Amino acid sequence: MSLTPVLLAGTVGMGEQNHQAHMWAPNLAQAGLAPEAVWTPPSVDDLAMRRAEELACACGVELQVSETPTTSAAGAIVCLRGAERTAFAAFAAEHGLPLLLDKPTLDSTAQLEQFAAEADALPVMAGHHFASHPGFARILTAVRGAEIGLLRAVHTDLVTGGGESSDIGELRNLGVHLLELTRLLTGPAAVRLQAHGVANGSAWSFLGSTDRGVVVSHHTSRASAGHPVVQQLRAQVRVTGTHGFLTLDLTKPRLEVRTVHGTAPVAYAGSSVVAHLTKFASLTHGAARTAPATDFVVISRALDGIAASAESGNAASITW
Amino acid sequence: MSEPESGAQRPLGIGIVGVGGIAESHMAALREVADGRLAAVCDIAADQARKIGEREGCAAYGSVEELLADPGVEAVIVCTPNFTHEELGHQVLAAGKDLLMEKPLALTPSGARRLRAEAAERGLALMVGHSHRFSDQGLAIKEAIDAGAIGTPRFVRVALNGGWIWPGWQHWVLNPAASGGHSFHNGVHLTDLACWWMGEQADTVFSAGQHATSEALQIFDYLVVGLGFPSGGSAICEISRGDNPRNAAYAEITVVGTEGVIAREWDAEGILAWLDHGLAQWAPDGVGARTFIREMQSFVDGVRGTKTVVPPVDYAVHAVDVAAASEESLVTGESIRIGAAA
Repeated sequence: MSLTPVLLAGTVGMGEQNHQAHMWAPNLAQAGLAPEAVWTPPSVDDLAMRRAEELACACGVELQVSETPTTSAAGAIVCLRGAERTAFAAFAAEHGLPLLLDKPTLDSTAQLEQFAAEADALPVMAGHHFASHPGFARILTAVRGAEIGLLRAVHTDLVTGGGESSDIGELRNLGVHLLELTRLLTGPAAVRLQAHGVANGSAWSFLGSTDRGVVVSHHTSRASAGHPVVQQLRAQVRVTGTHGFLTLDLTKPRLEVRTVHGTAPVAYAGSSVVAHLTKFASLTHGAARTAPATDFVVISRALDGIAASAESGNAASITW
Repeated sequence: MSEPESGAQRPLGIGIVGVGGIAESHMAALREVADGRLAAVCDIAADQARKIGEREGCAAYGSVEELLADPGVEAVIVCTPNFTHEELGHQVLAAGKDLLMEKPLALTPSGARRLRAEAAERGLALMVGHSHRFSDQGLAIKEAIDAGAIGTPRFVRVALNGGWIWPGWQHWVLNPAASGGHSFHNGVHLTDLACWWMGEQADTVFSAGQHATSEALQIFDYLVVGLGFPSGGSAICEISRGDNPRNAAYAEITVVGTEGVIAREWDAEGILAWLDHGLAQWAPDGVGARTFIREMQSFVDGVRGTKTVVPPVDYAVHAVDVAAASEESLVTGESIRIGAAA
């Protein structure tokens, strides 16, 4: 089977986090993709430059350090922030290069507006891989097929243990994953909600109701920040309909290997990252569609509204 | 509170006002508590009270006045509909009897405070039946928190969902004037747990609800109460009587701290039953009974003055504050700030 070449654009992340090397690149082959080259603009910091060098070496591909890449790839996976991300969007739009954008909301709403303007009609997928989790795909089908009747409530929790605290708060870093899932389930909606957050931005929650009366709630936090072992301590979606309800543990499917030394989880049936990359592969072939980049602005504004509600202590009306 | 006697104490004589469903749980608990005894029951349905009295071997009356006049009744449990709590509570306290009030303490914050003040003035024990604090799982969660297992708590999710609805349109719980609405009737259990585990009282309340079983309902049979705490922490408390399948009983508790998570999963009791009508989670025998026995022992200890009542009455007043704010939020769609701490 021939693999579809993709450009690995940038190795910038949140602090020490390096999704390009640790999450996307290792799973490309399973999704039918192969790295064509690693590219980085010269303006990135020393850490990102070193990461780019190491990634190119690990993948056995060319490292390009230039203002714009030279590429014939079918798409690009983008791990950049701010002005460099926006500049790359302009390049991609000019060359018709579909994008998988890691963590869009690491940038502000204003920055995402600029990004969307540059990306124009370019197909851009957010790197919110839980949206492609096989279990979530199944419950999304169930909700859209009325297998549990009409939707009445969506409750989501995501608690990450360990790892580095986000410099922009965990709402935009982790919480956006849950918001994406909730939004997929409810569809576009106006939401009246009250949010809460702790002062350092490491824990958030909200409770609200959509204009169709669907109750939505959400909790996101990072526990034991700084611990070297990173794992999902809680990753649940619970969906209630008029005729039934569903629960989904996003850390599954998994086996448990139990010995006297403890219990070790063993994932099976493919990860959400591979599933997401597979969807991106389809996008590069024109076999899938995605929302325009302005969608990132919609979700970013929703996050802004949630944060404002938490800060003010007042209920807020948002749309997603 | 009753003065301790020298030597072995005789069991505390307890009267129960109202012999409906929840009274049975208290009577069963009294049979298991050595230092308490059922002295009398009363109910406006005098025949029903008489039947219970015969069964339990205690005095039976058709009015609360008669029960309070019984010298064998030293303390009283009020098990009547919510709208009667405040008035009956004052009657009991005025008669000099210690009081275990079924939840909620009252239907208004001011009413709850009046009862608290009267009990304090008279030196009587006032306890409210927030029985979930005495459940196996509730205590285990609290112990884990207090042991520092998850660091500082900053989020609680409690979901106790089912499809059982109060039968008949005449049932008083369905009448918000009689029950106060779902925030008062069942919501107080969940919000009290959240405050207890968080270790602080809420300062904001925002609620969302649905009339899931019927649009004609005047209470929200599906109710989600969101609490905000001064620390920045929060809680989401979800109670449903409108789920499908109707025989579903879904329980989920999550407490998230700075260092970890306590999760009481839906299958935590460890017994799954696949039956003709679907999957059910069963609890081991005695789980419910233990809750009420612990609560009864706590009340007796509180009356004897050997321990502080649980929950502290300030938290019971706060539960009323939260419930009132929740009902207001359901109407206005706004977040309601709770003023002075209870």
